Amino acid sequence: MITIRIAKDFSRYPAGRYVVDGPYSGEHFRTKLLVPAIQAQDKVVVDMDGARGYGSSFLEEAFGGLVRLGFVKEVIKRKLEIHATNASLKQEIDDYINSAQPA
Amino acid sequence: MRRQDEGKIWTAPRVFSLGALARRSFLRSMFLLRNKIGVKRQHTVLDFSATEKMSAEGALLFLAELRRLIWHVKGGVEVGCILPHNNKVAQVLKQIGVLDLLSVSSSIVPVDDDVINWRTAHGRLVLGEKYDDILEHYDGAIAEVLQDKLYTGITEAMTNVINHAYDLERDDGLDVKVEKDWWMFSQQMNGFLTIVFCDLGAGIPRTLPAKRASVWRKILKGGRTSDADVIKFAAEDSVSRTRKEYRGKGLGQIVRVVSGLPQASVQIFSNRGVYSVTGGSKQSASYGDSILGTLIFWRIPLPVKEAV
Repeated sequence: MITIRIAKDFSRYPAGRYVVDGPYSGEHFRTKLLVPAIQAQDKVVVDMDGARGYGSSFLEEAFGGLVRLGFVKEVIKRKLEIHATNASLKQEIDDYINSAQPA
Repeated sequence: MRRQDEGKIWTAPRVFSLGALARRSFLRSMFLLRNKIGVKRQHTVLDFSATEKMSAEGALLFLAELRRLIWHVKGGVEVGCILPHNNKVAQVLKQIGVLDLLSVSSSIVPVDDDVINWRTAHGRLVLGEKYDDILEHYDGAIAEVLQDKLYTGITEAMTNVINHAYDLERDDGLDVKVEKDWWMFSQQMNGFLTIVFCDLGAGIPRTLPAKRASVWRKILKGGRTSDADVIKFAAEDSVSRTRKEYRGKGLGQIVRVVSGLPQASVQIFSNRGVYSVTGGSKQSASYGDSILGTLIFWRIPLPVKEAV
């Protein structure tokens, strides 16, 4: 198992969708931390607390983007565990994974 | 003033504001400013002597236009300044960086409470850390959940700028090489926190048909296509839509900042239209003139005992 603490391991200021949008985008987070962790581990805990906030662009690209990359939704859900004081974040991420379609 | 200087003068408006009474005169002044510096490339003296009031949204739009023009002419046009008689206006011009931008040396020092609380930020990317430049000061003074919503709304506004706003040329007759600039102010006054965010792009009514085709088709079906109608439809569609579509929800998050706050409001100005939400009340209006871009204006009450 691995724990990714976004505020500590990535940035306190996650924002934007694509790498070209800015330095701490959802695509960058997915590529740098999320994909390697999911590929290497059976369980990936993502701790959302401590960051300034999360826009829909960041969250959708980071988590919904996994589905477009070809990861199977059931595998993502089995491996991924979201820890967030703000409970609506977990629901929002679930929605993005459920709604995303393989590219 | 010497007679030969008269042609150089750009007379600043009495009131810098997008409010209904001042908007026309203010936007006419912005047109003349662009024409003088950007089109005719005349050496220009900005005369603020008659200016009496600068509202946050008017000041931000002016600062953005001026920065863009100065960047555009790249030192090829001299731009000077006649200082305002109004001391408050002089302090504001100093505080928001206009006097420094024009290299005006003066003894003006911002001291008034309603001036020193103006904070500014500018960027060309989605830069979450810029949020702290203007709003970290309010940590602990406003609820964490509101800070969270503000961060989300502001960074989504930045994301919209980078991904949509500058996809088409601005309708201002200037051949400006595209830089995806955004500008932002925060201001605290009379118990309210004001945050203003703007870009000088093509505007939502012009970019939406290409960027959100499904929404545009719905608008066409309804037969109401004024700028105000387009902003209203796009914002309300974005708020109410389920998460089936993964793009274009940013406007919804911009509006949601004020949800559940009865005295709070948000206004989205884009080109000739404005859409506003105050408490549960929604309004939209169209004008004959365009701001040539998009400006978002949040106004949020600060807790009385904790006002900072």
